[in-house]
Parts: sequence; structure tokens; C-alpha cells
Amino acid sequence: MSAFTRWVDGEAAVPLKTDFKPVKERKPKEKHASLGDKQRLDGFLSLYAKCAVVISVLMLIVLLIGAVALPTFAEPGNPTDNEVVHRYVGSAEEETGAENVIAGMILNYRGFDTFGESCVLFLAVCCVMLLLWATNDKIKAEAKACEKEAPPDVILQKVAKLLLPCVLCFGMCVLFNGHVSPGGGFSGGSILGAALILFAVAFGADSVRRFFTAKVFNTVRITGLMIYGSMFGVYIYQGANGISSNLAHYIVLVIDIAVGLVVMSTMYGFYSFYTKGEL
Amino acid sequence: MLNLIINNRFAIASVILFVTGFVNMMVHPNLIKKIVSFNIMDSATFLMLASRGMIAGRTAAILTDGGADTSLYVNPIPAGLVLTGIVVSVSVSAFSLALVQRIYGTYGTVDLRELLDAMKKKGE
Repeated sequence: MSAFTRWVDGEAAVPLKTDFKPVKERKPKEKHASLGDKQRLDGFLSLYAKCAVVISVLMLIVLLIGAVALPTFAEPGNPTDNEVVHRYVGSAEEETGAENVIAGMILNYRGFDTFGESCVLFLAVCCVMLLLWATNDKIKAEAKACEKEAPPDVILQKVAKLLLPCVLCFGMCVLFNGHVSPGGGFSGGSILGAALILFAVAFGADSVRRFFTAKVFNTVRITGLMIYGSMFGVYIYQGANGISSNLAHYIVLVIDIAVGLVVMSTMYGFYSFYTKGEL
Repeated sequence: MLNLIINNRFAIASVILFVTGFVNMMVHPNLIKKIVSFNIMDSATFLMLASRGMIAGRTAAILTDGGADTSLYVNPIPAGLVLTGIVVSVSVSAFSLALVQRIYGTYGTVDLRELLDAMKKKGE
């Protein structure tokens, strides 16, 4: 204590403990005890498994008690059926111009949340790129050889030729009608991404690369996010309330398409990086 | 008691699913199975949320000719939350699978026990 106060007053040097034992002395001990280490690890793992099961059973009991005490399923007048719902359903069409209340809600009332979601997708594909981008020529050569070994399947190609226009049309329909019918940016984007993946599987990655290169991929997903950000920013800057239903309708549509672009490129990006390590 | 269980069947199913995923995530040494269990836990949460939004005898919250009569539609809020959850779950799964792929490339295994041994060997 006195040393510490003297150090605070600036009279003595910093009270450092310098009597650390050199690491070298301990090392042989560790090697000697590696068998004991293994036994300890085994013991720990079996204890860990038992503890995990016990904790899970306890959790199951607690959660079941909670679940049984919940209000009755699907009954009108439940606590969840409150004024927020009535507000959303009652004035969504007027304020957001979207007949699909869920699309209006997530793109308008909770627009920041959905913007964060799009950013999460963007970041996820960035991380996957970072982890799986094949800088190694060997990996690339392996992927190429794999592609050559398995020539494109004739049945798959014929079916894909029939199916692809339908899938693309359906995806577009879901994407563009997201605000008036079931669907929206996320589902439409996933369908379009699935169409791209089908195209890549049936006709090889090179034929996708003819129009969907790495540059286009990056442009599409960044443009989607920027359109979303700027449209929603303008909307918030305008005051968000009191915008005519017609204008809000178009804002929701454009934001929906932006989300669709982001989701589509993300889906194809995941597929492409997992299979080939590049676009 | 039986009545209570039937009344809350979705909540109970989601609790069972959640705990199944949790146990598997804790106990399984295989990293890919851990990710699958994580997805099961996600699905349990989505089931719970979606079932909370249901109101008997009403339709999905897409306004048709009936107009904005609030007594006709189910709760739209859980649907939006589930949408958010699905996107986050997809992103997390993709990221962790990419990590596992890198781990497999470096150590040649996805089993946690073997991974510990391999890491120790590499460290020596």
C-alpha cells in the first residue's frame, strides 16, 4: 500500500512484479504430462456432455412451463391482437400505398430494420467472398477440371430450357407485385437467384459469366443497397407522413426491387463461391 | 392438462424443436451438424413467432376488396419479424459454413475432437 501511494506521489518507480518464471522451464513438464492432458480432456468432454444434457432438460422444463402458460393459440383478443395491429392494418394502404400490409410494414414503417437486413446480406456475401475467394491457382484448376469431368447433363439442359423462362417470369411477377399480393423483394429475389443457379448448373458457369461477371455482381448488389438507402432517405427527409398514397406506392415498389436485386446477387454469390471459389 | 397442451400445441412443438437443436449444438462434435442444429433452433423461433400472430378465422394481411377492416386479417407483425429472422439466419449459416470450409481446407477435418488434436500437433 505504501509503495503504491509513493508511486502515485511520483517518489518511487512503478511497482512491477518482475519475478515471472521463464516459460522454458515449464515446457518439458507439459510434454511429460501430455497423456494426463488427454485423460483430462476426455474427462472434461464427458462431463461437458452430461452437463449439456442436464442444462437442456432443465431448459426444456422451464420453457414448457412457459409455453403452457401462454395465451390460447389463435384466439381473437389475445394480447398480441392489440392496437398496433389495428393501426398497421387500418392505415397501411392509405399511408404506404401497399395492399400487402406486410410489405408496407417492413418497407415503410420498419424501413430502417429492412435496410439493416439488406446490409446483413451484403456483409454476409462480403465475408463469404473474403473467406472463399480462390486466390490459389491450384484450387481454380481443380474446379475447372471438375467442371470438365462432369459434362453438362442433357436431361437437365432440356428441362432447364423449358423451366427457366417460367421461373424467371414467376420471379419477376413475385418481385413486381410484392406490394399488392403475396411476395416481395426477399421472395422474388430468392426465386431469381434460384433461376440463376439453375442456369449455372445446367449450362456451366461460363455461360453465366457472359452476362453476370464479378463486376456486374458487385455493381448490382451495391446499386441495390444505394437505391434503397437513397429512396428511404428521401422519404424520411420528406417527413415520411403526409406523402400521397400514390407516391408512397412507388417508393415501396422501387425499394422492393432494390431489395430483390440485393437478394438475387447474394443467392448467386453464395452458390458460386461455395462451388468454384470465384464468380 | 390435455386441453392446455392442445391449446398451445405450436408453442410446445417449437420448444421441443428449440431444445433438440440446443442439445445437438452442445453435444455434437461435428461442426456442420452444429450449424444444422443452429438452423433447427432458428426454425423453432420462427414457428413460435408465426404461431403467435395467428388469429382463428382470419386471412393473411393482404387487403382485398374488403378494405381495411381490422377484424378480417391476422397479425402482420410476426410475419415481418420472421422475415428478418430468416435473412439473418441465412447470412449466419452461410458465414459459418464458409468458415468450416476454410477449417477443413487447413486441418482436413470438421470433427471438434480431431480438430483439437490437429491444432495441438500444428502448434508443436
